[in-house]
Amino acid sequence: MTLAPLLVLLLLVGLVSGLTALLVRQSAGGEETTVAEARQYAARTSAAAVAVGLCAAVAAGFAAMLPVVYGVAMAGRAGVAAMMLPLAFGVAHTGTVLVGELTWPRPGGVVRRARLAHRGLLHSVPAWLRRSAAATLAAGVALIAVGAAVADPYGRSVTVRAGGGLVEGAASPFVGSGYGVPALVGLACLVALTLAALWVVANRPAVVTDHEEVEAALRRASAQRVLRGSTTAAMVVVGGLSAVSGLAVRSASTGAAETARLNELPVGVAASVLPWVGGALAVVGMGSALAGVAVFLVRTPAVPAEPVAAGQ
Amino acid sequence: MSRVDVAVDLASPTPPYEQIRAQMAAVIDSGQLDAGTRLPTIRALAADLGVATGTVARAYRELETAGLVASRRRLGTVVTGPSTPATASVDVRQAATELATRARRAGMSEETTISLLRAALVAVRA
Repeated sequence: MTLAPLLVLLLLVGLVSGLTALLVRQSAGGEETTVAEARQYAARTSAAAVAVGLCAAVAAGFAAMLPVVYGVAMAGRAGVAAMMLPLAFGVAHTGTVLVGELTWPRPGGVVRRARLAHRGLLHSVPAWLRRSAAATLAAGVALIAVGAAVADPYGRSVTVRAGGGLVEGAASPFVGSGYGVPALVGLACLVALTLAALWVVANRPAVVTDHEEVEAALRRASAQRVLRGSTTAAMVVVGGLSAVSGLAVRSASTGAAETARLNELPVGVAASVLPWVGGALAVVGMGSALAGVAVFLVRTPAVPAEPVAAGQ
Repeated sequence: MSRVDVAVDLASPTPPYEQIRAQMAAVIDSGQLDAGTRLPTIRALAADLGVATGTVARAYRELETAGLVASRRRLGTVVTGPSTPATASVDVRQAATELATRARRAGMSEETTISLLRAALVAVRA
């Protein structure tokens, strides 16, 4: 099963999150948390999420390649292993942030205060990040659907015909069902985990402060940490699939066109246009993958310092 | 709309759910929360106050029974409006403010003031 490492990772994240939620539920609130402590806690969670994500990516890639190491040949194994890296990073990063949000400092003291305002699931997510995530998901689903429809029967290559169907060129890897289904399952896992983490962010305790903007900034930063990991993973996966598929289309159509020309057959519209389409798809894909990395590097919103009251 | 808070004093003899219910009823009746305003989810308010979800759920249930809030499938819990017409409550609100001012001036504690008000309500009912 090509997705085994990712599913094991998801199971691990689910178990740790569930156990954490249970333990947090039973523990009593401690001392009142200050804004500075909350900020430090968030920074520690963020660093831990990056470290766990990177370790998971390396481990998942290694696990996916194990059959090859032991001499068991499996078609497309290297491609699936490459795809597993960003997906495992996304799942582990989002899972760690989720556990961090579940263990967010609880209110302490005898008198507790809360604001009577509704917080929605996507309320704190920056609009640009929300749009990027939605667009990536839509593009990924569309790419996989179209890829599955036009790929060869075994789902990992594409064939372009020229010369009135007399000559053809084939190339792989291509996003047919062989790569598309594992990618789709991985993206679905990532979406489910991200929604769960955003729900936890919306429902976690507020930090005790008289300044609403400080609380809002802390929550916005939490939401961005959740969504940036999964958006980066999704953009790298979808961008990677688009790039390799584009190159495959370009290679197959160029090969078909050249063979047609050598045999003095008409090249046809498809074999003439598809090299450009494939090239554009590859460039867009590589750009998307790079943009995904850039999304991860965008800083979370700065938490304004609490104004110090006179006399303190 | 101005910031509206609810506070829970765990050392108070009044149960937390009743503290939440009373404060929310007061802010709704005073018009600080307009009809249609979405309230925090039970889980979010319980997390912010550090109390059990059942505590907030009970407060919301009693507010719903009193007709001050309603549970809507997609929106969650929303304010339906004050229990008394705005014009009728103005007079009572002024009297409550007057009572609070006088009690503060006399150095009376909040608990004593509320006890006096409860006694007055019982006397009127009789």
